[in-house]
Amino acid sequence: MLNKDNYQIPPVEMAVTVVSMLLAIGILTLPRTLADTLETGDGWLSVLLSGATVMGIVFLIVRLQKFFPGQSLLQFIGESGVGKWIAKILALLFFLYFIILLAFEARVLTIIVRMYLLDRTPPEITLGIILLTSAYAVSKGVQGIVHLNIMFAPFIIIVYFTLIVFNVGNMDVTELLPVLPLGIMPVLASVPETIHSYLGIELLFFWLAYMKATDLKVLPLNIGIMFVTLVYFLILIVTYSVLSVDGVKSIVFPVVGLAKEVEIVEGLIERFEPLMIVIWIIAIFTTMAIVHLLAVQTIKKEFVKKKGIIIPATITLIAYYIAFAPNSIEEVYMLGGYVSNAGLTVICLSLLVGYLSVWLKKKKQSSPQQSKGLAK
Amino acid sequence: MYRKLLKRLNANQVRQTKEFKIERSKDLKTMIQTINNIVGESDDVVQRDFKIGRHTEASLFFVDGLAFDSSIEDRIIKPLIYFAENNIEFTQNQLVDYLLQEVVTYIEVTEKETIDEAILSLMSGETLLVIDGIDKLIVFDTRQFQQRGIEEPQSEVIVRGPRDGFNEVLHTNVMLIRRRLRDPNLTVQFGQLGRRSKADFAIVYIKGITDEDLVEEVRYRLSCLDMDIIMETGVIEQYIEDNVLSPFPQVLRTERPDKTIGALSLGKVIVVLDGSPFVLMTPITFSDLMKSTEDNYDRWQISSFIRLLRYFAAFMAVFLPGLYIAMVSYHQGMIPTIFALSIAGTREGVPFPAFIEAFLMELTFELLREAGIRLPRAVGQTIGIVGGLVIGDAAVRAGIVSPVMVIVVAITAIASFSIPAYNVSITFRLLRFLVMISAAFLGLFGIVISYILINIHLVSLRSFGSYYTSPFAPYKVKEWLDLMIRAPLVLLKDRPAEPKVMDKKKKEM
Repeated sequence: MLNKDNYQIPPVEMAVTVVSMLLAIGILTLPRTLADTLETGDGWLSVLLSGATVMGIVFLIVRLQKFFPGQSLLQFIGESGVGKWIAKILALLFFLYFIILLAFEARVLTIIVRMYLLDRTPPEITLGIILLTSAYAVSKGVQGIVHLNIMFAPFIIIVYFTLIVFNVGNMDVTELLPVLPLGIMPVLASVPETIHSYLGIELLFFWLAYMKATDLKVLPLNIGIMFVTLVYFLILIVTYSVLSVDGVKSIVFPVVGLAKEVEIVEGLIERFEPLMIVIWIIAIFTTMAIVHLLAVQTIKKEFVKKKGIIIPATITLIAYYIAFAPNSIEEVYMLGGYVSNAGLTVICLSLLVGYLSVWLKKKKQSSPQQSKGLAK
Repeated sequence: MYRKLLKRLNANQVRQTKEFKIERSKDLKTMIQTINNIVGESDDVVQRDFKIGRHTEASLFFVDGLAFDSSIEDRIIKPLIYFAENNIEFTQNQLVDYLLQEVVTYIEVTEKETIDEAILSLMSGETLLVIDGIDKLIVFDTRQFQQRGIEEPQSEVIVRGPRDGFNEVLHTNVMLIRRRLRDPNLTVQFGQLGRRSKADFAIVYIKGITDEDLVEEVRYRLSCLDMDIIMETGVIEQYIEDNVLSPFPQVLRTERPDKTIGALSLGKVIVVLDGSPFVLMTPITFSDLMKSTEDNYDRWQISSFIRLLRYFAAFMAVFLPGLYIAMVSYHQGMIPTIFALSIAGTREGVPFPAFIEAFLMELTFELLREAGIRLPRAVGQTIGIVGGLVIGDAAVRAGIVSPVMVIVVAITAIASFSIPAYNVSITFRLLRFLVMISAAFLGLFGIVISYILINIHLVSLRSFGSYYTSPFAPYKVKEWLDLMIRAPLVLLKDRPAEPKVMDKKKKEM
């Protein structure tokens, strides 16, 4: 009766979690990176294409998960003799990726806070507070963080849509025309870059294990992905048509620039931008909390099986140090690029290893002596 | 914590009492001696000796004031004294049966096994009869004592709705509940709490709706409660709640019978304690704090509007002073220019930074509120005038605070009073100080962080195992009809998901 143990994530909550995991840093910079790489307003096509690709990846992940419901990928791989070592290596890769991602997000958050909210507070303090807060969230476990996402998701969504709706009046669609002036190839080439904004789906490798076997469905998750794609798509169109493609290139965070244009009810809210920043802090915080928890979980499950505060505290401390490794915004974004590439690699790698080990197990199983069955 | 309590409880049972022998005896003198050893020093325990049918000696014990004198006289002593034995030969057990069945006309009679039990009944106002030659302890339920009438509850005033409220007597309170809910499944279970006070309490729930595990959990936690006296349900509340460190109440209290049966019908468990007009309802969720029974009595548009207003008020009560501090000291750009200029104009000459200013005013307000409660009601009004008008106006004129600050504090105060449950509004007021401090140090960023912290705390909070934030998280979209708005009653067909219930449907159509 006590809702303490055995929390299982319902499909809707999982979808919301995925959405809040994805909607983080990417959205602020996506218009600029796409404008830089494409030089045209065709970024929205690239977003649609990568959205479809990511939906494919999610499909593959969920299909893989169906072979071992109730277990995470690493646990599954680790069951057999050789797999143990592969699982350990993968876990280490994941851990490194998570902790660097955590540090990166925290650092970007600090930069934003310093830029728009607190220009005199030392970043060391801001960063420390953010990391401590997310460490507190981590102490509440999977259920706590999923529910936290659910609590915050409506605010995040409402603010993004306000941003879009109140900019409709300022839109000039001719900025987006002509479509595909340079042909389809540059758009295709920019797809991997765009997929970086969808990073976060690696969460599925770990948290699908908390779902009931019957709840493992692709559709709710892909509706989540579709939703994210829609938000990216709308934001891109609005940003380009309001600020113009060339204008976007010169702004560090174009979406914040977009917020500057909003004026609701003649000066009642003259500056939408701080509100936007506030909600965006919450959005990025939810991502950080998830990543933080994933880092802690990976260590706890694969390496040091120890309860208590030591592991989360250590991880928070390491993330704090990593966050201050880059010295400037450019370096931070270089780090971001590396992290994204690493993430993509790890996702592909684990998919590959996952399917490979499923295939191997099936092969073993078909020989009659080995009747140690799979769950499905 | 509970495990520790249980351990202690078990340890107590093993411990032996080293007092004099307490045993039943056939000899009346020994029996009287034993009883007097226990309660004889109290002058309000009355001992009445008489002879049954003019030869069998007997003694009657009762507590003066707790027991109903004239009924003891008319219905116990009189028949016993005038009873003639009619030459029938009785064995001793037969005598007792005969007396109880054919002589005494009292309704509630029980025989107690041990002297301990008998004394306990005696002390709660029942009458104890001991007869020479018979080792039985006969107890008549003669309890009757003064009680306050059924009045309108002071702490929960509503416009539309029943005017009766609980009083301090357990049986009256249970009666008030039972009178409104005639379902035979309404289960009332009595027990006693406190090693010395032995206060009666009742667990009330509806069988078939309330989850059995929940009832078991409530019973378990209550039985783990080991104190010498229980003064009020507020004490129980603090012992049985899930998280002692949380500022949010995890058990709700009410003085209203109609609210109580509303809670019962949602599958909650009610704890009634003798001596307190407040009953406890559990488990609760955050949304329960914002609901008033009156919401169901008004038309749905009105109720929805008022509920939205309440959520807004809660937000204001917690965040408004913090926002003011943040905007004035960090983000002047957020305020529309003209307004910003006028704020700056009024703040001219104020010697303190906004944080100190706000803190001073908020503290003053809390002081006024506290003073207003403690004073006799006739003088209480003065505090309002002195505090609000004289101090507020004088402070502004003297240039200690700015007029805008006074407005902010006043709005916050009014907002915090519009929360239906009084103890919750205190929670919000405490959180307000946290927000103010973080706003003073970190501006808007601090407010966001404190908002996140409050949310993290809330999602991890449980009330008797129920998710505190339900139906916000976990999502229960259907229940949103009765959350921040109140949809027409026709649409509200199901009971909420928290607490878990055995019967989901409120009605079929």
